[in-house]
Amino acid sequence: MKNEQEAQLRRRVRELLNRGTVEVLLGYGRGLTGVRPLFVRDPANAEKLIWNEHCNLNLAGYLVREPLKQVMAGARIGLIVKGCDFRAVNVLIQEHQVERQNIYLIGMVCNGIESDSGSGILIKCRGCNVQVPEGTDEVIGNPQELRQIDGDPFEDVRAIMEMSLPERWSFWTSTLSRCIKCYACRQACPLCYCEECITEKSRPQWIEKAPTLSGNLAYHFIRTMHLAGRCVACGECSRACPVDIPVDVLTRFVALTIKERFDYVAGDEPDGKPFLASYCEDDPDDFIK
Amino acid sequence: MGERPIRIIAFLCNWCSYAGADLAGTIRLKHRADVRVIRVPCSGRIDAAFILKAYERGADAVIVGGCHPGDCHYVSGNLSARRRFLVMKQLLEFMGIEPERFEVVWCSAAEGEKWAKIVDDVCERISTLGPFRSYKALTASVLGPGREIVTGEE
Ligand code: SF4
Ligand code: SF4
Ligand code: FES
Repeated sequence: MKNEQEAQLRRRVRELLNRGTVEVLLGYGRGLTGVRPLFVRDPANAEKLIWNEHCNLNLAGYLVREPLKQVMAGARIGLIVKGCDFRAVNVLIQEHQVERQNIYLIGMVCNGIESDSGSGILIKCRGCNVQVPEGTDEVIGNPQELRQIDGDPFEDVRAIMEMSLPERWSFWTSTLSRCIKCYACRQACPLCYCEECITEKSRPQWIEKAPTLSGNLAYHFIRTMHLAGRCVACGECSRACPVDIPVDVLTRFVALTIKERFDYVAGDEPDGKPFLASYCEDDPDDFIK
Repeated sequence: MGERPIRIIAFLCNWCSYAGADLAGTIRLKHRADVRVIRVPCSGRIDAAFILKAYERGADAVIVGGCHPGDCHYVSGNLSARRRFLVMKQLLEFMGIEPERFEVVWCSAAEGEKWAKIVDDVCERISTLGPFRSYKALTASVLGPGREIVTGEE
């Protein structure tokens, strides 16, 4: 069957570029080994855009990446998002990194994304409630053709929660002992946009720079804390890791905790308040003496 | 006796909890002497990095303290901190660290007795649990021979 959604996307992007609604569009293209990000300025190149169940990338990060940020400054940017990617855009809007009116969002109706390893639909897609993105400038695809994705999106997180404390400790210390501190996980995260990262600080040095076990543990603890209430479970971090550390399990554990204890989901609304920069009088305090 | 020496680091805010700990001293309450206090302006100042650094440098447990809700000198530093502390506590546990090794307390300037009791309780529990050997083992490999952290255990 023809990929009607992809054809529709290309048509629309050509129109948007021709009309000048957007000057540059970020979408998915064919790479050497899979899907890659594609920047389209020339309407003729809209033909190179692709859309299928392998479009796992969360492109939101490009909105805040130097030097792209500079190259694109002032240009009206179009961005292709799945419902889950849209959450990352919302977090960036909440944190005043991106102005909603400066971007044009094309939301894709999504039937789930396949994992690269061929093990079926991604865990994060299970139970998805944003298969039809709401709040984007337009939506492409036919909601009638949706199929619901069942299952527990936190299955891998819960598997670790079921371990005893010593088991968790040995799981994380042995897993994190592989980390070579390349910071690919940080670079890949659409929400890790600080120009100066605490990992680079040496006076005082909070995190050992060499990939030592204690430094790795500190790095991952702090990275996870810095994504608390912000991580949108896109999995870019884990996909980027050259030694296959499931770093998103840490951030998604925190996402689960925050969802259960505070009923808060990162990026659910563009005008929501950042989780750690806000509070409620009646936040849980049963752990405080 | 036979108690193992332990070391606990407490980060206390200047305005209430530190004053509370100070009061415990002024009114000459006795409590265990295994806690070292580091004064910070507000519980809102206490960063995740502080906790990990304390463990790295040999702490067997960390206590963080602030003013009771409503009493923070900066109005809401402790209320934002409260969310962060909950997440930190959960995350430490998720990584396999005993929950006893990270305690959160609210303590007013008048609560010298509460502070003394908390110190004794935490020390008691950590003595039972034992020094934070698993973390010290991580750091030992980094520091190399002759530069081990002095735990007082030997
Ligand atoms: S921490 Fe990982 S899963 Fe979460 S938003 Fe960043 S890249 Fe995505
Ligand atoms: S991408 Fe992997 S190896 Fe690189 S810093 Fe992150 S966890 Fe470590
Ligand atoms: S001053 Fe004590 S918690 Fe803010």
